[in-house]
Amino acid sequence: MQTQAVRARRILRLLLVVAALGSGCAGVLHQAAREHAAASRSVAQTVKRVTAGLTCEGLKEESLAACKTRIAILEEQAQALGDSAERLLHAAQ
Amino acid sequence: MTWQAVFNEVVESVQPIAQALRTGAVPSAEAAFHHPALALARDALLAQLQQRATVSALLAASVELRQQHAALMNKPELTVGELQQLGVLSGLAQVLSARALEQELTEQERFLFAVTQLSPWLQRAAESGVVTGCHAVAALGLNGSKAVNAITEKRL
Repeated sequence: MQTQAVRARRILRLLLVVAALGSGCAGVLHQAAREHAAASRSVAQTVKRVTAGLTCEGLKEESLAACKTRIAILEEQAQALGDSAERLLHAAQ
Repeated sequence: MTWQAVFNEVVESVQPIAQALRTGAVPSAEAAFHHPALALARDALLAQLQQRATVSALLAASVELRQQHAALMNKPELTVGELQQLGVLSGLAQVLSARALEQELTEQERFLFAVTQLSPWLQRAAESGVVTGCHAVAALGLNGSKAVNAITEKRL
Protein backbone atom coordinates (compact mmCIF):
# COMPACT_ATOMS: atom_id res chain seq x y z
CA MET A 1 0.00 0.00 0.00
CA GLN A 2 2.72 2.41 1.06
CA THR A 3 4.81 1.40 -1.92
CA GLN A 4 1.95 2.21 -4.26
CA ALA A 5 1.42 5.59 -2.62
CA VAL A 6 5.09 6.43 -2.97
CA ARG A 7 5.06 5.35 -6.60
CA ALA A 8 1.93 7.40 -7.25
CA ARG A 9 3.57 10.47 -5.71
CA ARG A 10 6.67 10.02 -7.82
CA ILE A 11 4.68 9.55 -11.00
CA LEU A 12 2.62 12.65 -10.15
CA ARG A 13 5.80 14.65 -9.62
CA LEU A 14 7.13 13.36 -12.92
CA LEU A 15 3.94 14.35 -14.74
CA LEU A 16 3.97 17.82 -13.16
CA VAL A 17 7.53 18.40 -14.29
CA VAL A 18 6.84 17.10 -17.79
CA ALA A 19 3.73 19.32 -17.97
CA ALA A 20 5.77 22.31 -16.85
CA LEU A 21 8.40 21.57 -19.47
CA GLY A 22 5.75 21.20 -22.14
CA SER A 23 4.16 24.52 -21.23
CA GLY A 24 7.21 26.43 -22.40
CA CYS A 25 8.97 27.11 -19.11
CA ALA A 26 12.49 28.45 -19.33
CA GLY A 27 15.71 26.55 -19.84
CA VAL A 28 16.57 26.72 -16.17
CA LEU A 29 13.58 24.54 -15.35
CA HIS A 30 14.61 22.10 -18.05
CA GLN A 31 18.14 21.98 -16.67
CA ALA A 32 16.81 21.64 -13.13
CA ALA A 33 14.55 18.75 -14.15
CA ARG A 34 17.46 16.91 -15.76
CA GLU A 35 19.67 17.49 -12.74
CA HIS A 36 16.94 16.44 -10.32
CA ALA A 37 16.41 13.24 -12.28
CA ALA A 38 20.14 12.51 -12.25
CA ALA A 39 20.31 13.26 -8.52
CA SER A 40 17.33 10.96 -7.91
CA ARG A 41 19.15 8.23 -9.80
CA SER A 42 22.14 8.77 -7.48
CA VAL A 43 19.88 8.39 -4.44
CA ALA A 44 18.53 5.14 -5.89
CA GLN A 45 22.11 3.91 -6.40
CA THR A 46 22.97 4.82 -2.81
CA VAL A 47 19.99 2.91 -1.45
CA LYS A 48 20.85 -0.14 -3.57
CA ARG A 49 24.49 -0.02 -2.49
CA VAL A 50 23.65 0.27 1.20
CA THR A 51 20.91 -2.36 0.97
CA ALA A 52 23.32 -4.78 -0.70
CA GLY A 53 25.38 -4.75 2.48
CA LEU A 54 22.50 -5.70 4.73
CA THR A 55 22.20 -9.26 5.91
CA CYS A 56 19.60 -11.21 7.80
CA GLU A 57 21.96 -13.96 8.86
CA GLY A 58 21.67 -15.27 12.38
CA LEU A 59 18.08 -14.19 12.91
CA LYS A 60 15.35 -16.55 14.08
CA GLU A 61 12.52 -17.57 11.81
CA GLU A 62 10.06 -14.76 12.52
CA SER A 63 12.68 -12.01 12.59
CA LEU A 64 14.32 -13.48 9.51
CA ALA A 65 11.10 -13.16 7.50
CA ALA A 66 10.58 -9.59 8.69
CA CYS A 67 14.18 -8.71 7.88
CA LYS A 68 13.90 -10.13 4.36
CA THR A 69 10.64 -8.24 3.82
CA ARG A 70 12.25 -4.97 4.90
CA ILE A 71 15.18 -5.47 2.57
CA ALA A 72 12.84 -6.36 -0.29
CA ILE A 73 10.87 -3.14 0.33
CA LEU A 74 14.07 -1.09 0.25
CA GLU A 75 15.15 -2.76 -2.99
CA GLU A 76 11.73 -2.14 -4.51
CA GLN A 77 11.76 1.51 -3.47
CA ALA A 78 15.24 2.01 -4.95
CA GLN A 79 14.08 0.36 -8.15
CA ALA A 80 10.96 2.57 -8.35
CA LEU A 81 13.02 5.70 -7.71
CA GLY A 82 15.63 4.69 -10.27
CA ASP A 83 12.98 3.86 -12.88
CA SER A 84 11.13 7.15 -12.42
CA ALA A 85 14.44 9.04 -12.57
CA GLU A 86 15.26 7.37 -15.90
CA ARG A 87 11.82 8.27 -17.27
CA LEU A 88 12.24 11.87 -16.11
CA LEU A 89 15.73 12.05 -17.65
CA HIS A 90 14.31 10.76 -20.93
CA ALA A 91 11.39 13.23 -20.82
CA ALA A 92 13.70 16.17 -20.04
CA GLN A 93 16.09 15.52 -22.96
CA MET B 1 30.21 33.34 -7.74
CA THR B 2 31.19 29.80 -6.73
CA TRP B 3 28.64 27.44 -5.23
CA GLN B 4 30.70 27.37 -2.03
CA ALA B 5 30.20 31.14 -1.73
CA VAL B 6 26.48 30.73 -2.35
CA PHE B 7 26.32 28.01 0.33
CA ASN B 8 27.97 30.39 2.77
CA GLU B 9 25.53 33.18 1.96
CA VAL B 10 22.49 30.93 2.29
CA VAL B 11 23.74 29.54 5.59
CA GLU B 12 24.49 33.02 6.91
CA SER B 13 20.92 34.00 6.07
CA VAL B 14 19.55 30.85 7.75
CA GLN B 15 21.73 31.22 10.85
CA PRO B 16 19.54 33.63 12.88
CA ILE B 17 16.52 31.42 12.15
CA ALA B 18 18.38 28.22 13.08
CA GLN B 19 19.57 29.93 16.26
CA ALA B 20 16.00 30.90 17.19
CA LEU B 21 14.85 27.32 16.62
CA ARG B 22 17.78 25.94 18.60
CA THR B 23 17.11 28.11 21.63
CA GLY B 24 13.35 27.58 21.47
CA ALA B 25 12.67 31.28 20.85
CA VAL B 26 10.35 30.08 18.10
CA PRO B 27 8.64 26.67 18.28
CA SER B 28 8.73 25.78 14.58
CA ALA B 29 9.95 26.83 11.16
CA GLU B 30 6.37 27.89 10.34
CA ALA B 31 6.35 30.17 13.38
CA ALA B 32 9.77 31.55 12.38
CA PHE B 33 8.36 32.60 9.02
CA HIS B 34 5.77 34.82 10.72
CA HIS B 35 7.85 36.03 13.68
CA PRO B 36 8.43 39.83 13.46
CA ALA B 37 11.87 39.60 15.06
CA LEU B 38 13.00 37.29 12.24
CA ALA B 39 11.49 39.33 9.41
CA LEU B 40 14.86 40.72 8.29
CA ALA B 41 16.46 37.27 8.25
CA ARG B 42 13.44 35.84 6.42
CA ASP B 43 13.52 38.54 3.74
CA ALA B 44 17.28 38.16 3.30
CA LEU B 45 16.93 34.40 2.90
CA LEU B 46 14.07 34.67 0.41
CA ALA B 47 15.95 37.31 -1.60
CA GLN B 48 18.97 35.01 -1.65
CA LEU B 49 16.95 32.00 -2.77
CA GLN B 50 15.23 33.91 -5.56
CA GLN B 51 18.42 35.02 -7.28
CA ARG B 52 19.01 33.27 -10.57
CA ALA B 53 22.71 33.02 -9.70
CA THR B 54 21.76 31.08 -6.57
CA VAL B 55 19.70 28.57 -8.56
CA SER B 56 22.55 28.13 -11.06
CA ALA B 57 25.07 27.71 -8.24
CA LEU B 58 22.93 25.11 -6.49
CA LEU B 59 22.62 23.16 -9.74
CA ALA B 60 26.38 23.37 -10.26
CA ALA B 61 26.90 22.08 -6.74
CA SER B 62 24.48 19.23 -7.40
CA VAL B 63 26.46 18.21 -10.50
CA GLU B 64 29.74 18.27 -8.59
CA LEU B 65 28.31 16.27 -5.70
CA ARG B 66 26.99 13.66 -8.16
CA GLN B 67 30.45 13.39 -9.71
CA GLN B 68 31.92 12.72 -6.26
CA HIS B 69 29.11 10.21 -5.70
CA ALA B 70 29.90 8.41 -8.97
CA ALA B 71 33.60 8.23 -8.05
CA LEU B 72 32.77 6.75 -4.66
CA MET B 73 30.32 4.28 -6.21
CA ASN B 74 33.19 2.89 -8.31
CA LYS B 75 35.05 1.70 -5.23
CA PRO B 76 34.47 -2.05 -4.82
CA GLU B 77 34.34 -1.90 -1.01
CA LEU B 78 33.08 0.99 1.06
CA THR B 79 33.59 1.63 4.76
CA VAL B 80 30.67 2.73 6.94
CA GLY B 81 32.02 6.29 6.81
CA GLU B 82 32.16 6.17 3.02
CA LEU B 83 28.60 4.83 2.89
CA GLN B 84 27.55 7.81 5.00
CA GLN B 85 29.35 10.11 2.57
CA LEU B 86 27.60 8.35 -0.32
CA GLY B 87 24.24 9.08 1.31
CA VAL B 88 25.08 12.72 1.97
CA LEU B 89 26.37 13.27 -1.57
CA SER B 90 23.25 11.92 -3.28
CA GLY B 91 20.84 13.28 -0.66
CA LEU B 92 22.24 16.81 -0.84
CA ALA B 93 22.36 16.68 -4.65
CA GLN B 94 18.67 15.80 -4.70
CA VAL B 95 17.76 18.55 -2.23
CA LEU B 96 19.71 21.14 -4.23
CA SER B 97 18.19 20.15 -7.56
CA ALA B 98 14.71 20.07 -6.00
CA ARG B 99 15.28 23.66 -4.88
CA ALA B 100 15.86 24.67 -8.49
CA LEU B 101 12.53 23.11 -9.48
CA GLU B 102 10.38 24.92 -6.94
CA GLN B 103 9.67 28.02 -8.99
CA GLU B 104 5.94 27.81 -8.41
CA LEU B 105 6.13 27.58 -4.64
CA THR B 106 5.01 30.31 -2.26
CA GLU B 107 7.48 32.35 -0.24
CA GLN B 108 6.55 30.43 2.91
CA GLU B 109 7.15 27.09 1.20
CA ARG B 110 10.57 28.27 -0.04
CA PHE B 111 11.43 29.48 3.45
CA LEU B 112 10.40 26.17 5.06
CA PHE B 113 12.37 24.23 2.48
CA ALA B 114 15.53 26.25 3.19
CA VAL B 115 15.18 25.98 6.96
CA THR B 116 14.01 22.38 7.33
CA GLN B 117 15.66 20.68 4.32
CA LEU B 118 18.54 22.64 2.84
CA SER B 119 20.16 23.79 6.07
CA PRO B 120 20.28 20.32 7.75
CA TRP B 121 21.66 18.70 4.58
CA LEU B 122 24.38 21.34 4.28
CA GLN B 123 25.27 20.70 7.89
CA ARG B 124 25.45 16.93 7.30
CA ALA B 125 27.69 17.61 4.29
CA ALA B 126 30.04 19.70 6.42
CA GLU B 127 30.08 17.11 9.21
CA SER B 128 30.84 14.21 6.89
CA GLY B 129 33.56 16.16 5.06
CA VAL B 130 32.04 16.01 1.58
CA VAL B 131 31.79 19.81 1.38
CA THR B 132 34.81 21.86 2.34
CA GLY B 133 35.68 25.53 2.14
CA CYS B 134 32.32 26.70 3.50
CA HIS B 135 33.16 28.39 6.79
CA ALA B 136 29.55 29.39 7.49
CA VAL B 137 28.30 25.84 6.92
CA ALA B 138 30.87 24.43 9.33
CA ALA B 139 30.02 27.12 11.89
CA LEU B 140 26.37 26.03 12.04
CA GLY B 141 27.53 23.49 14.62
CA LEU B 142 26.43 19.96 15.39
CA ASN B 143 23.79 21.02 17.89
CA GLY B 144 22.21 23.36 15.41
CA SER B 145 21.95 20.58 12.89
CA LYS B 146 20.30 18.30 15.41
CA ALA B 147 17.83 20.98 16.46
CA VAL B 148 16.72 21.67 12.92
CA ASN B 149 16.71 17.95 12.09
CA ALA B 150 14.43 17.27 15.05
CA ILE B 151 11.98 19.83 13.77
CA THR B 152 12.20 18.38 10.27
CA GLU B 153 11.54 14.87 11.57
CA LYS B 154 8.60 16.15 13.61
CA ARG B 155 7.13 17.67 10.47
CA LEU B 156 7.50 14.38 8.64
